Amino acid sequence: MDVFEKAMGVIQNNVANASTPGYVTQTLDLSATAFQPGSNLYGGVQSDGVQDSRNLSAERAVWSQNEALGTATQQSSSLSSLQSLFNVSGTSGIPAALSSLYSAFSAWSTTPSSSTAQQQVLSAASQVAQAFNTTATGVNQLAAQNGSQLQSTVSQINQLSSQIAQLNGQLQTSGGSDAGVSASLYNDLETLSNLTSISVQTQSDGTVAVSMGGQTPLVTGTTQFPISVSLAPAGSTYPTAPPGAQILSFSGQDVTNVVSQGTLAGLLQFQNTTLPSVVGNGTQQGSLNILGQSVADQVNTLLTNGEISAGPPAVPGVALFTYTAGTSVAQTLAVSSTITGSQLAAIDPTTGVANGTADALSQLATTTAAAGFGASNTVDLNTATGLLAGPATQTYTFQIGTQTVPATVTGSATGISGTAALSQLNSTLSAYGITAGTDSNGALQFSGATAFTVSDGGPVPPSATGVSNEAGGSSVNIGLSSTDFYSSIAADLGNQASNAATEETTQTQLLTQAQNMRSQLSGVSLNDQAAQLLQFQQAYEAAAQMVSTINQTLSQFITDMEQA
Amino acid sequence: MLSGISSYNGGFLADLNQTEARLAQDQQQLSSGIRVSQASDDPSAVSSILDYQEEIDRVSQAQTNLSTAAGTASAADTALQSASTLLDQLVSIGSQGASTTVSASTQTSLSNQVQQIAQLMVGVANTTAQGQYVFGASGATTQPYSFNWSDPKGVTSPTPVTASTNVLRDAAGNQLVPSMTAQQIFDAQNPDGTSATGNVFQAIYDLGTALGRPNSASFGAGNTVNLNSASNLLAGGATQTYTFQIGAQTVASTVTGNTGGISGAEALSQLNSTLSAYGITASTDSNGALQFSGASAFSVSDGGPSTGNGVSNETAGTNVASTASVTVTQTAVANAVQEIQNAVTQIGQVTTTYGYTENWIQNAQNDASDRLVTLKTGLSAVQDTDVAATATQLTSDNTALEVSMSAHASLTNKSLFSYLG
Repeated sequence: MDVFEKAMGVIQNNVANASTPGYVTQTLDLSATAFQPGSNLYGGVQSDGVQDSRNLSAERAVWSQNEALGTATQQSSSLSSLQSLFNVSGTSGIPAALSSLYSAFSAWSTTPSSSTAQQQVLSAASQVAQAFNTTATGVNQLAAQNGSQLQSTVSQINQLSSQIAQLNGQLQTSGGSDAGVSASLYNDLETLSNLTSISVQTQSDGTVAVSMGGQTPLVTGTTQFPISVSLAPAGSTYPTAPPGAQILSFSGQDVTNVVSQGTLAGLLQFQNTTLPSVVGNGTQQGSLNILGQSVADQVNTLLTNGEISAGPPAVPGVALFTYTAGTSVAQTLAVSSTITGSQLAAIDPTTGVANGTADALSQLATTTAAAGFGASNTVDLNTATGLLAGPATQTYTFQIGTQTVPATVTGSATGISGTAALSQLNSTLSAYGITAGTDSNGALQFSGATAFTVSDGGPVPPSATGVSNEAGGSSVNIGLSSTDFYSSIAADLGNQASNAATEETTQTQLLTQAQNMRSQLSGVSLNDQAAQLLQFQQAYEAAAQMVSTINQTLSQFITDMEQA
Repeated sequence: MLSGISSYNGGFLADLNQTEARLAQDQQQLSSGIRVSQASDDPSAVSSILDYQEEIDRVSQAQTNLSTAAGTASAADTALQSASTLLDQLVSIGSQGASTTVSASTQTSLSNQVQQIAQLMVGVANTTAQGQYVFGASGATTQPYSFNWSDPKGVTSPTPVTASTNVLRDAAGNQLVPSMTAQQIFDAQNPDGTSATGNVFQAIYDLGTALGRPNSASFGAGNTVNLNSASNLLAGGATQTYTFQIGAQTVASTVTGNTGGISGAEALSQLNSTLSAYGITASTDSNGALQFSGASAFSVSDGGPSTGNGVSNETAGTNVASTASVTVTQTAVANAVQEIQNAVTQIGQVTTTYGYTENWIQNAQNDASDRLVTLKTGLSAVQDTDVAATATQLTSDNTALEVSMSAHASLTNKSLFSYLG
């Protein structure tokens, strides 16, 4: 009867914890005791302990799906925020500002000497600069928020690891048989799986050893190994660019690559891959900066090659935009503080058309970017010798659609000629339909059948004479107008956000399926518990009746003996 | 992931969230009328939308530019009509002035009228529209010409004025130079800077000065030098001074030769460089002989050449007084009237050019309007909500939401425990 009472106690506990996160059905194991009447062993039932029905395969399936959901949810959220900074209606933000600028150029071209039209150009240019500044600021704010989220996620991971370590201690004390502690433990593991990829090893004493990605220990027994977030080392091409994030193990090792899933992986991907593709990092300039520089350089080149008045003497134009090269272009893009409306050069001296430069500026919306690095590149490859002496190297990184293609030029002890440099470049680029050549000034330029961008890494070491010598690892986009280039940025982010949202939906469904399967295998079924309760209730009542009958029989026997 | 929620209910809630998200999107698309409000709504449509919008903005600006140009061209056309009317008046004046019966005083009066018309013509050249000089070239805020009867053309220009090269672009990208400068229209010049045939200002000035020169003097038959063909005058650097008495003023005008001698034209030029300030003009008569004419009476005496061939070879010291001579001016007036006729032709050609410009602009405006309609239709097709389809989807999603919630709520929440006694 005691056993039956225990069994009903187990059932009562199951029913009470049917909705407790992490709880699995507990079962009291029963076995018959020895029945050997000749040896005065009259049998009975004994309990062999409580067993839980936890299915580790089902648990791991849930963790795996939860990790994937964590990644997808974070990516969906992050990309949704990022894409909102890139207007796609064309009526606000960068596209609207650029359109207004080109319209201002067009209006100015009809009345080049109108001070009103000139001021409208300056005003529109200022709006372009502000649009780029605002977008860059927004992206940088997202980066800061993402960095904070990284910190808080790592804190959550460490908090959960600490809790798991404590629960391991409780399990060791209880001999591994406390269902409540086990429920809390596995609930924490499930929560942790949403944050990062985990690998769990169960020990014989019921405790668990948890590692991140199967390599970096988080919990072993009652010992927690906290991880941390730090800044990644600065890049070589753009050393002043904001650094990325890295995860450090308890021993200080960089374990970023171990984090493959979970919210943490989503945050790291956003910090180290997605955001830098837009605003740059130590090794790339970022598409937003490339676009800003392309627009500014196109406008400035036309204006400085134009004339304010034909004279004599002719008065050349001045640059309209200023910026800090590299990964700060979008953030620092501004209208020159010294330029006035009367300094806008409308005349095209090569054709003699009085508003030729103004007209060319108005056509920039559909004009593809220059094929070279602009006037800042002064190396004449037709005559240059001694390039990359040392030997030194210089790498040009091409982005052709989704492909990243580096093309490296290697010098010699005494340096190479411009022709030899072009030959080396073309030996790599020919496979991608891109050709390296020279412009009318002998400067390096590229051309291709499809649109691409190219970044110049500069000579390594920097003291060597390079194949091109524009400042600070300049990047240019070739084959795309400013409108199309902006569209490619926005569409790419939109694609990523759409895919992430779809993935989130899919992973949610898969997680639900995994949880359902786990529930079927080890969850509490009220119907099962009710049936067992009924069974044990009947058995208890029968046993109680047996005791009562035996008691009555013995009492009668005693009475009869006394009378006798 | 909600803690404490069963996997069954968790799945239901996840599906519910998705349905509600779809509903929210349907409602947002219907209320805004925009299908693609962010890139993820349809990444493949982003490029088309931005291209359409940019093209709409460009064509709209082209429309504005064409409207401005149309206003300018219309103002120019009106100005040219005024110029033509003024030239017609000058032809009439010239005809009167060339009559053999006209008096010197009448000629002077006609000359004054010509000066007034000259000022009006300068006003036409300086026509403004929308704050810009219609014939102002690239410096459209600078007044092209000022009236100055002391100038050999009767006008001055503050800055060197070039032909207009400003291009106007239509929505298709075609270009036109829509305007002509005041110099091109009213002050046609030869490559060497002299007035070309059809120069309106020169023609008016020549008519005015021809009519305004009834007083003339020449040295008569005693002067046989034909300045039209002479080429070795005052060789060796010789000089010859003519002394004029103009009222109380005594004015000396000296011609200086050079080593090989100068031409008659050069000699006249030197004389006029001095005399123009006094309203006297040195020219040649029908025999090519030196003669002087002016608005006021004067006398002139010839000092003779210091050595060599003189600009005139009458007896040195010959002094003649001017006489009011209508005859002398008749030839000049007739010549000036011919210049006016040439100017009428010039203005006529310019009017035709502006007519072509106005037609070009009108056609370009029509084309731009058509393009805008096409572009906006294209943008709408890509960007705007399909209201009917979205409304249907909204109804469907709403029904699905209600049915799923109703079905879930109606599920039995009983277990075997509910039936135990």
